[in-house]
Amino acid sequence: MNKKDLTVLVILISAVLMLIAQLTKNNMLFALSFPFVCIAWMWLGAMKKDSVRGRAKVSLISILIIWLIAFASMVSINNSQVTGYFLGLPKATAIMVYGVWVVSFLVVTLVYAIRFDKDYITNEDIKEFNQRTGANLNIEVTDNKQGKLNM
Amino acid sequence: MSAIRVVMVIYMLVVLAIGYYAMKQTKSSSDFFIAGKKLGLIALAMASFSAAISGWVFVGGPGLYFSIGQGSLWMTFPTAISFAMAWIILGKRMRLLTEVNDCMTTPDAVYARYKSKWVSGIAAIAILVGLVLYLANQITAFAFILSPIFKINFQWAVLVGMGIVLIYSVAGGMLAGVYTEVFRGTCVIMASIIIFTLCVVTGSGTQNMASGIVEALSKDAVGAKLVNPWGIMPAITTMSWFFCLSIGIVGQPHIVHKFYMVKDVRKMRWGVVLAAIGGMVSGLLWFGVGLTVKYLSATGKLPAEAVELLKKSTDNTIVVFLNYYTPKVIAGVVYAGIASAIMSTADSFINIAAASAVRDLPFAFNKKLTSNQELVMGRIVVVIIAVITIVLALTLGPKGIALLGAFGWGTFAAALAPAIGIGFNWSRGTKQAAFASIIVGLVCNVGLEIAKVLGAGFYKSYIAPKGIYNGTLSLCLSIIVYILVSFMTKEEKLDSKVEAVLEA
Repeated sequence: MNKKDLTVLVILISAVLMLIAQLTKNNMLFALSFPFVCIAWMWLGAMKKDSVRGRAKVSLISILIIWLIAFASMVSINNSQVTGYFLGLPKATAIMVYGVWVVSFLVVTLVYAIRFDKDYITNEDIKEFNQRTGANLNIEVTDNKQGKLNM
Repeated sequence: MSAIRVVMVIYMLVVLAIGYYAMKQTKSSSDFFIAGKKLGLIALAMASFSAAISGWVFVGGPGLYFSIGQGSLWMTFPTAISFAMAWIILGKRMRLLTEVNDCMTTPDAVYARYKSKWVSGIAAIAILVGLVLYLANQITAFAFILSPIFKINFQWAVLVGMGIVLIYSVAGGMLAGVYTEVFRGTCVIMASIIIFTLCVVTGSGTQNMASGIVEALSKDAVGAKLVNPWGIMPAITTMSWFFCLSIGIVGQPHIVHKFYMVKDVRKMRWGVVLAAIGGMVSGLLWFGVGLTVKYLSATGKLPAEAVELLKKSTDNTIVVFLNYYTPKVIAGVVYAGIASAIMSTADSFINIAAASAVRDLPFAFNKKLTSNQELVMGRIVVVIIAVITIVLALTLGPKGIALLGAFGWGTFAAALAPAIGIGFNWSRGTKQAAFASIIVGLVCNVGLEIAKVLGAGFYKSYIAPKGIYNGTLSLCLSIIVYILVSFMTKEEKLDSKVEAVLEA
């Protein structure tokens, strides 16, 4: 069983736990299982030859931890009272807005763009793809010092 | 109202001009269905954001906030990461696939991956059915907006709305849709920022509004629940929305389709950031308008006419804010933005549905049309689909918005996400698994929605009390079926080029 198979198994087990959580209305189990499906699925997408490269790995592991903590915290907080405010929002809602919404953008979306040609598709990937498929993705060297290529 | 009408008319004229320009650019079926594979960075970002953020977000979103509170935002918050999910899971692979397989539609990609006309055929049927129903939902929402502004009845509004969509859709195909999306995406982003600022000023800050709601609606702690993360909904329901609307993006044909149009792979790099920012800014409008109108309502500060409007339908939340608290010109731009949001989403749907009908279904039955035949037939099918849409919209009326919307995102996520999203990243996935998961996802989600609408006993007893969101339950089952069946069936040897795509 290779690493992709293992990642898919993580998705399977997490999906089964999500199913159980829904049928038993277990908020905490759901909060602790759905992040694994999402992140393992992205992990699968980011894999190149059975591994996730560089900062992409850090980015995905970080968001998994952040989501687990954030959702578990929100499930634990009493929804029937507001005990204080943080940056203009009730504390629990601040976790939702700043901790999940904004941080997800910074940790995953922005990192994806910044690390795109190092962790997600490199020049070597394209050369290899051209060789294997006979495709003609046009690669032109425009800046040898920085190794930047335009297609 | 007259200023609002003038702005809307000007806006619509610009949209029609864009459609005319696109018509001149459309010379082949590739132009018609995948915008000639010419999209650059801004076009890709705006087209993806616009396709994902339909007009319902602006009409239904604030209304939902008014009804259930903060929990509604779990439907729009996925945009912060969902585009990245689509880009990471599918973007590169779908774009590379077009290099070796000349894919134009999602069923094309499904066939390339599984080499089964059964699987691509069932995917085409799922897409066709889902998109026609989703399209009817968009047109119904469009009529909901047009009707009061132009003081025409709902039936006429449906016809006018569909007519405008048809003009640039038939003429310009996907190219018109994409160009329109760039224009309207830019307008919506700017208008959302202005509206959110107006909201914060009107309510004297988010903290003032939240605490005002908590104090005014203190009975049974309704106010506190409204401003806390789940609103008045069960936590599991709102987390389910977040799950389905984030990872479910990989099953949306109108999003996946955009990857075939990218001019070069590297254009995808910053496209994801722009699309996410667009989605997040739109979320601010949902949040700002919903919170502000709820605060004004809870504290008794709304005019009597506005209260009456909200009694008729909470979807009037956006109408109340625009009519009573927004300068008319800005309100006109927002109304026009909402209308064109619906129009461009509808245009994307109509063209993808047409592609399924003239390319994918004939292919499943061993028929192949020439490029010219596809172009002509594509336009004819667009008209036929429009007629079906009008009949559906007129038959179900404004109440059909919720009913038809139920077949949208959740159905595509449940039916297609595992077969595409896992299948294009895991060579062990088999055609039997893809076929089974598409059937399970489709039947489960549509079946549960019908059971919900009809008030079936088992649904009332076992599903509804648990706070289950049908799309998420169906997606979980579909994922489980796909993986289990793949492990239980014989591994297939992949085409070497497809294998290269999966390993890139």
